[in-house]
Amino acid sequence: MAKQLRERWASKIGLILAMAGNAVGLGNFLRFPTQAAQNGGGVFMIPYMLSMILIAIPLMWVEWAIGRFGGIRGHGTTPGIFRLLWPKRISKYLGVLGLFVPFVVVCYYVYIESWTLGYAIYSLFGLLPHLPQGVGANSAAYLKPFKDLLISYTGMGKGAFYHPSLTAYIIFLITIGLNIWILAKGISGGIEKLAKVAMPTLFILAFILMIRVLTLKTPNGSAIEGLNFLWTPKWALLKNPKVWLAAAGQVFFTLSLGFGAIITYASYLKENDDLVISGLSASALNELAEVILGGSIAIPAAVAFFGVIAAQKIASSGAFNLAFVSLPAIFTSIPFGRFFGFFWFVLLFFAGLTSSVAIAQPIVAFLEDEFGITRNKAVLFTVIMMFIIAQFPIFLAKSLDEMDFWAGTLFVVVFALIEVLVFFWGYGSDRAWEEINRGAIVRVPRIFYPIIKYLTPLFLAIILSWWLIDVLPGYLSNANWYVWVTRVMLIGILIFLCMLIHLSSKRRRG
Amino acid sequence: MNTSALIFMGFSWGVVILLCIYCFTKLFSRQDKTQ
Repeated sequence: MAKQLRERWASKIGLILAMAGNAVGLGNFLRFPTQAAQNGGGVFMIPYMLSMILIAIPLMWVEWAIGRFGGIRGHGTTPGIFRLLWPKRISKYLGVLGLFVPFVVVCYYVYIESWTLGYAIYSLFGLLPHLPQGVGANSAAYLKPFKDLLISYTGMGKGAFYHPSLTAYIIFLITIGLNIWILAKGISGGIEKLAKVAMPTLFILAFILMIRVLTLKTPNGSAIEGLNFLWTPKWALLKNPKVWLAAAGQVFFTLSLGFGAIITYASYLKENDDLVISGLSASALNELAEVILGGSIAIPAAVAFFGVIAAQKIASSGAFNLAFVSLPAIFTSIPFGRFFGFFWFVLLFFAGLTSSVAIAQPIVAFLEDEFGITRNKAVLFTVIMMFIIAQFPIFLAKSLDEMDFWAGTLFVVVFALIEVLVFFWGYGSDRAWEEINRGAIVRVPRIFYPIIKYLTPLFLAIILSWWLIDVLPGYLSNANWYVWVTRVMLIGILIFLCMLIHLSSKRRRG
Repeated sequence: MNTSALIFMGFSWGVVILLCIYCFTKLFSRQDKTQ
């Protein structure tokens, strides 16, 4: 067994906060409430919790176990780990998705993260549009100045090219700089320290905002009506398969499964560190941020200000509108709103930053482990690549959506399916089961053995098939030249990463 | 709040809070082996 000297987490709580930081992102505060509101309200939680038990939690344990298995053998990413788990020529190339997905996602994620920092600064210094006190009946007119600001900030207008503001670009550079600084300080000195500060701050800010929102009342509605809107069960929708698929998709994304980041973080565990309760604790913190805090801010605030009908429209208009248009409009209209707006965007920024360093780490770890280069050089190489690729979503129309669809939606499910098949079927289910339970504070109940072996891959295959049949044809047919530029760029990244894997393999043999 | 919304919200919040309590109790009831 070729053991290398790898970094380790300095403390258990640091590890759990970093893992929770990886999982808690913009989706917890924006995607969950809009998905729940659109898919049955309270009854959404029935498929949500079942999916959590049958897909998300088993897959989370699989990823932690794969990571710890690889880490003690000197590998923090799937090309190296899959080769050990399933010694076939193709296995290391199947692991390329463990690099491709996080790398592509981080390239556009850092840019969105920079918007939250920019808007936090705008909020604090009172640079957001000023509106007269009181709420107009017409929410569209009320929100217009905020929509205009978002368009002028990001430059996302019509046409093939975007023209972001200079401020947006400078703040993007600052955000990249912050990511470099944290990544260069390493696992315990950078990522773990960040998580210990950012995660408690995030929870405190979310709690303050939740209390403020739940006491909102206007002539149009109240936050309590918002909670009614979000949680009242619409039983008829439970028969709709799309609601079940939406719930399965939500639990999948909320725990950041299939991104490769959990595997890389878990590779810094020690050989007999517990992963069963540690993984469950990080997932529990993520659920706290999602179900309790995430469900009590954006939608209740929108209903309190604009009423149920307008809030429905806002919920269906997407996460960006909710985060950067509706919520700032609401916060600027309440007393001390400048500070609440600032809290909201700092909360999103911390959620984004703890996730972006997590999804940048797999490439850094790959370069360190497989090519033996120093951390600083690995970070520099990663960030230069990130910076180049990030120009596509910044300047090219539809590039961000395209990158999100392929890497952040489709390939995460493909990769998760590959992970569970390689681990439970390639490596062997009995050995995989023992690997999960080694050092466990509490062993995983035996019922999860058949769940992980049969049900989890089956459910993943169903989700994937539905997307391939229902979503993919529409996506492929609706494309113009600049969408194809992004697709060619994505294929280029995939080929480049396969070449790196090939080179690292030759280097090991040589 | 209406009763059905309250039941669903209360149940969901309850599950999450109990899960957090269970995990962190188990986690810190044993000597921290990562130190």
